[in-house]
Order: sequence, then structure tokens, then C-alpha cells
Amino acid sequence: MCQFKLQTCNKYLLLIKKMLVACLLISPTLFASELASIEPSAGLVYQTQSGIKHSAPLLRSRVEMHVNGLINRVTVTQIFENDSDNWINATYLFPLPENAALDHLSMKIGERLIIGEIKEKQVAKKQFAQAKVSGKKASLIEQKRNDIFRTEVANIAPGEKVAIEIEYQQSIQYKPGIFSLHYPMTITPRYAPPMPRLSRAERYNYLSNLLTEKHSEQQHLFWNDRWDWWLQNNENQQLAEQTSVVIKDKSDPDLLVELKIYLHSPLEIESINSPYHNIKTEKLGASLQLISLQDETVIANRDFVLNWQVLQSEQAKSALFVQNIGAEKYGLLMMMPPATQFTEAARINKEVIFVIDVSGSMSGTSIEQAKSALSFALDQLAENDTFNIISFSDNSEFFATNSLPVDNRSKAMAKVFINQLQASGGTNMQVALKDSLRGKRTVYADKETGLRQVVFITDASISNEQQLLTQIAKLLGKSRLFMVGIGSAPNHYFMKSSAKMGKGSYTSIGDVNEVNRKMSALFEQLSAPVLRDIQLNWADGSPVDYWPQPITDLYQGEPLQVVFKIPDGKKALQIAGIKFAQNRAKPWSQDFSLQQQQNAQGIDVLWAKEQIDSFDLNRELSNLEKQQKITALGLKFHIVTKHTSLLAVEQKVSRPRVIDSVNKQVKTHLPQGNTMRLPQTGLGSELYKQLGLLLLVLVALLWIFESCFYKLKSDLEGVCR
Amino acid sequence: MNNADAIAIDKRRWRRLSLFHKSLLIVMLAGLLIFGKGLYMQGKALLAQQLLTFAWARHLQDGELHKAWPWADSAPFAQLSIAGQDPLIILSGATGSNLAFAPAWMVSTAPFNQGGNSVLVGHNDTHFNQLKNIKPDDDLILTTYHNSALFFQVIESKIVHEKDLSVLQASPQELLTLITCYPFDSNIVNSDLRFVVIAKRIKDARSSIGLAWLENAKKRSLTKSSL
Repeated sequence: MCQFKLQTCNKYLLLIKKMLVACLLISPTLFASELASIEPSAGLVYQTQSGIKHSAPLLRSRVEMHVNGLINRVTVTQIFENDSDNWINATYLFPLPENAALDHLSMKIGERLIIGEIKEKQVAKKQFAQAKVSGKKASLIEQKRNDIFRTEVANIAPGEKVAIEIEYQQSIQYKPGIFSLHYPMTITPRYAPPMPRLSRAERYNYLSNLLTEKHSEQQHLFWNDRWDWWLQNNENQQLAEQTSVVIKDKSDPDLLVELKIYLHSPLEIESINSPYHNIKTEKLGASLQLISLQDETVIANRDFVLNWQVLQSEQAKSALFVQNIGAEKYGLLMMMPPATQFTEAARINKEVIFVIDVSGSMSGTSIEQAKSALSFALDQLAENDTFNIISFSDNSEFFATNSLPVDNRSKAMAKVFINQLQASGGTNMQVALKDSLRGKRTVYADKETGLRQVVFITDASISNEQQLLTQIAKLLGKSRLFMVGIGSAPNHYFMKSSAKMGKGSYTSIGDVNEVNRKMSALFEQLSAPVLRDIQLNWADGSPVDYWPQPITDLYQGEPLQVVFKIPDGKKALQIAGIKFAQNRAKPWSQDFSLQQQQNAQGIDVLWAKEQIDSFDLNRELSNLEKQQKITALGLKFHIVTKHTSLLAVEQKVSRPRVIDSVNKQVKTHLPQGNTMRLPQTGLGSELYKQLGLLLLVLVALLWIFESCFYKLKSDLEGVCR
Repeated sequence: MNNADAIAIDKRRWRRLSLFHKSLLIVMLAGLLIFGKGLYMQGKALLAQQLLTFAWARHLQDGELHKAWPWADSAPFAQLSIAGQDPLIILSGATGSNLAFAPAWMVSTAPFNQGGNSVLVGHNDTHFNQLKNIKPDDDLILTTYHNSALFFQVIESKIVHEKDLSVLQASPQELLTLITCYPFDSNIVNSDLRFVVIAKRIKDARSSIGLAWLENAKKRSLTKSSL
């Protein structure tokens, strides 16, 4: 009997001990789960900080693309839905491909349809502001950057839906055998370098110098330039601010996109794929396919890319398209370089300067991609090449003072240098460009046959594009600039334009898995220049009005695409340039007859767009001349440019005077993989102290408890005896 | 119940108890270590500030660069006093190692006394715990490396998400932005919220009060270093 009691007592003791130990083990995890439950409510505090809580207007985009040959016509419908109780003026900053020509706007409110008109930017802005104040529904499309546009919609009533439909045209990219189109969905927040503030005296000085007409033309230009520079800086700051309006937590509604592509191709398509999204294809006819997303909608946090391959045998060497519009004729010429297969013998010795961006915006997966791209590129260098590496953030750092010849030792040293790179700080690209292009540190380069190639690896999260492009044009000299875009949403416009300016090419790497494939393609190309100093003439020797101008160098596997205006009576076109073969350069030319033409649509818009881009990059024109020329072209071809905007205004007044409307900007998603954030500043030392104390107290309690119990038990035993 | 049985019971109990006590001892050790780690972090921050203050005082005397301890990565860069509390020495470069010792200036933002937005970052459980009770209109006094005192007045304090980089942006106004994790005195280790204090530079007569205070502070730090 007594033994039985003792046994039960022992059992209880064991049970209690087990429970206590279990509690001890569980307590930290309990603690942690409690922590997790605190955080979301802390997020809500942030939401209501601004005072009154306005919910952002919900936006849904529907994209429909019609691809026809080399031209892609896209309709984007942005449906703004106001689910708040206020009248709302919505603003939405959105990206478009950098070669997009936006030429149509319509606004649909229920059954009413208002077609937008092209206006000069300032005029459109003023009329929109008037409509906004007077309570009319209106929408305005402005170009903020070549690849960033802004939709503004005024006076959306509570519970109302307004559909803004815009159309743009884009040319399809073509690399040997592969066509690809690219639809950007998100904007990397832009970084604006700190701007020196104008003091009051300086501002007066600027203005008085601008307004007085007494001094010479040259002086006037100087002050104009200073003033423009200041305005430009100011605008950069604003854009940087606007791009940082992003979705931060789960309580913000997701931005959703619906996508449909009608792919019309006269050539037989071998395969279609999208590297970042799941797609499904459906055959609608002999040469028509419908491509849509696997899920109905996707979250707009990563660029959409579609590649399709045509059967190799049907690949044309060159193709000429012609469009007749009224009395005017436009032509589009596409040509594959007239080169043979790449051979080792044809390799040209080169000096390669790698420039890698290690600024804070590259942190996360971007820097890893950049590093692996760089180490892969190192391995691609040939024996007779020389190389150097420059890393930059706020300042630039050289791997070696002079370019080094490629051998095992220098490669190993370079790898060590690459491994220790870490992303932090600002994006001071000016310094990097200066250091890489100035090229004073070269000793090994062979001036005659050698090539100096600068490979620039960056996400280009900068907003002072114009200043940088001007700098490239100034410093380029004999170097060629190759841009490698890293991350899910690099600044495509800047990358493309600087590659164009630097007479090189642009490669975009969106995923780590693509590094090897794309970098080896780039290096194969780098080693094999085919044509340089290309020019176009009519067969009778008269000059051609063609764009882009100048035409960039042609490398192995790169097509040449030129748009031109055809005057009456011209029958044949001649292309001339300098061709590389066997490490030697020779003059070369080829004739094209306009008789074997194919008809096409949209070349006029393409022509206008190319012309606008070329004006924009032309350093010989003053800003005023540029503005006049671009405005004229924009108005003639109905295209949204830097200086022209599309505006749609409803004549009816819909918002009652007594009610005010609230301005809201649609929050956009951060590009996937972007980990740029404010520094982490909580060590949690308090937590450690508390947890430690808790454990100690528990141990003490257990100890006391246990000894009491032991005493109790031995008492019991004594009783039993 | 015979003797052998009693011994067997004793042995069993001993084994069981020893295991229990062993685990208790292990848990106690772990508790001590964890507690010690927390204490170490705070102690390190406190001690570093003391050493940095001495180095700063030496710097104020001869204008040379003095490291707080021979193997230190960085030397005192500026001194900040928040609303009359104990002044803090600021280091340059917001790296993890610097932040363990002192608040730090983010090098990508504007330098002091040259206009623009200068950003300082600090840990909320050590140095920047001082920000906990900050109010608008509080004074911040920053002594730069070249020993000029800049006076700032708090215009706003707000809580932002860690991905909200707008607070780092350049500004035409001369601002001092202090950033630390939020909430204070909580057990959240990797909070995604930040407490941001924005102060604007003032250059009016009020600064004379601050100057008197600053003289005192200097004297204090000098006496400390001579001890």
C-alpha cells in the first residue's frame, strides 16, 4: 500500500518535472510566436500615421499586343476604380519599353468615350489643371523619362470606374533566329545625387542674368545652360521622390496585369517561351497564335519577356519593307551582317575594362548576378587580351593601376578582388564613366588594330540620365561601351542609349541562370566585330534621310535595322562601311533594290520615333532647337514625347463644386529581388537580457520546487517505513 | 522492504535526479550566456562611447585625428547632443561594426555643414534610445570635426517602413535626419519599421543658450579625459 503511494508520488514527480522541462523548451518559441503576432499591428500604425486614411485607387491593367512582323502594336487599358468615399485625382507612374511610341489615348467612363488629342506639354498641363479644378473628368499622359510615363486622371467619383486606354508601337528586337519583345511592369526606385542648393544670391544672379538681354549671345547661352541644368536636377529629384511611392506591406492592394499577345508571323515559328512568366499558347490560324498568361493575372513586380524562334532555313539575309502614307514613302531595311561563321583566326586583340556597380541598389540577388557575370566574363577572355576591373559606388576603385595581360595569376587575383565586393552606398556613375573611358591608365593597348571595350555591369538606378549621356558622348573617343543590365528592372532606356552612344550593345540579365548564356553570347560578339563606320547612300550618290544616325558598329550575329524616308524616283540603296576580316579592316559596300519590297504598316511612327530619339541624343543641337524639332514631330505624328502630351477632357462637369477631390498616387511594386532598405538598427540586447533572465529565474524556481518535492517525498518514505 | 531494494531505489533516484540537475545546470548556463550577450552588447556600446569621448576631447585640443583604441577602424567624426542628454560621438559610415560602438553618419548622404540632408543611424537599444522621448522643437547640437557647432531643431518625427528610402533623399534644406529601429524597448529583433527624426538647421539667437551648454559639455569631457 505504502509502496503504491510512493510509486504514484514518484510518477507525479516525474510528470511535473517533464512538464516543467517541456515548458522551458517551449518558452522561447512561444515568445517568438508572440513577437510575430505583434508586427502586423505595428504595420497598421504606419498606415494611419498620415492622419486621415485614404485608400489608394485600385488599378488593374489589361495589355493586348498585336505583333506583326517586326512591329508590335500594344493597347494598355488602365482601369482606375475608386472604392473610397472621396472624389479622387489619381496619378500612376508606369514604365513602357524605351523604344515605345505612345500615340493614342482614350478615356471611357461607362458608355461615354473621349478621344485624347496631342498638345504641347505645357498647354496640356494647363488645360488639364483647369479641367481638374472645374470638376470635369480629364486624363493626361505625360512622358517623364523615355521609359517612364505618367497617367493622371482627374475627378473619379466614389465607386466609379474610369478606363484609360493607351496605345503604343514598339519595334521587336531581333537577334539571330530569335525575336523578342519586352514589356516592363515595374520601376526601380531612382537615386538622385545630392543637389547643391542654390543660395538666394545665386538664384537672383541666375534670374537677373537670364532676364537681362544686355550681354553677349555666348554669355546668355551660358546662363541658359546653367538654368536648364538646375531645372533638370530639380526634376530628377522629383522623379526620385515619385518612384519611391511603392507598395510596402500587405495591406496595400496588389497591382495586377492581364496580358494577351496576338502573334502574327509569316515565318514558321519553332518555339515560344517566356523566361520569367508561365504562358500558354493557342493556335488561331495558319500564321496567328494567341499567347496568354497561365494564370489570368500576374502581380506587376517583374518585367515580361517573350522570345520566339523561327525556323533557321527560312531566315532571310535581308528584308526591305515600304509603307506609303499619302504622298510620303517610308522604308525599313533589315540586314544580317554579311559575315562567315566565327573563327578563332578572326579574333581581334582587345583591351577590356570591366566596370561593376556595387552601390546599395545592387544589394541582394543583383550583386550576386553581377559577380557571377563578371567572373564568367573573365574566363571568356583570350590569351592576347588585356583587362582591368573598376568597381564603383560613391567612389570608384581600380583592381589594377594598369590593364593586365590575361594569365592564370592575374585571373586568380581578379577573382579574389571580385569575391570581396560588397554592395553599399550611392550610384556615382559619373566617376565610374570618367575612370573607365578616359583610359589614361592603358599601357598595353595596341593603338592600331586593338579594340578598347568597356563592359559596364550595373542596374543603372540613376535619374540623371541626360548628364551621363552627355558625358559618354564627350569622353568616348575610340572606346566602345557595352552595357550589361542586372536585376529584374534595370533602367533600360539609359542602358540602351548609352550603348548606342558608346557604339556598343546592351545585354539585359534578369536571372542568375541566364548569366552564362548571355555573357558568353556577349563575349562571342565582342570578339567578332564585323562592320564599323556604316553609312547609307542612294545608288546615285545622294544622301539618305535615315535614322538612327550614326549607325552603331555591327558585331557577329547582330542585325542592322534602318528606317528611312524615300524621295520620288529612288530605286536602289547602298550601304558602305569598313569590314573586319582576318585582323584587318577593309572598305565594303552592298546595294539593295527598292523593287523587291514588302508592304508594312507603322513604319512612319517608327521613323518619327527614331528621329525623335536621335534629336534627343544629338549634342550639336541646343536645347531650344531640340525642343522645337521634337515638338513639331510629336504634334505631326501624334506621339507623346518630352515636349508633347496626350490630353482627354470631358466637356460635362461631373464633380459638384462644394465637394473637394483628393490627390492619390497609385503605389507600384518594388522589382522582385530588390532588397534596398534602411539600415538595421536594433541589436535586441534587451531581448537577450530578458530571455537570459527568464531562463535563470525558471532554473531557480525549478531548483527550489524540486528540492521541496524531494523533501516531501522522503518524508512520505519515512512515514512508510 | 529489504536493504538491497532500498539501495536500488536510491540509485535510480540518483540517476534521475542527476539528469534533471544536469539539464538544469545546462539551462542555467545558457541563460547566463544569453543574458551576458545582451549585457556585453550594451556594455560595449557604453564603454566605446567613453573611449570615443576621450579621443574626441584629445581631438578638440590639438585638432589631430585620434583613435579611441589602437585597433579601432574609425576615429570620432562628430559629436551630437540630443535635447540636452549626454552627448554622443558619431562615427563615419553606417556599418554594423561602427554601429555597435556609436551612431554613424551614412556616407552616401550630405556631409555636415554643406547643406542638404545628412543622415545619422544608431541602435535603438543603446545610443539612440535617447530618441525615445524626443518632441518637436527639441534642440540637437552637432559639433563637426572642424569644431563648429551646428544647431538643429526637430521639425518632425515619424515612423516609416524600412523600404521607404524617401528619408534618405537629398533635400534643398539643410536637414539632420536620425534613424533608428522602432518600436523602442521591445523584443523585436529585426523590426521592419524605423523611427525617423527630422531636424532643420537654425541659425538664430536661440543658439546662444546652446553655446553655453556646449561649453559646459566640453569642460565636462575635458575633465573626464584628464582623470
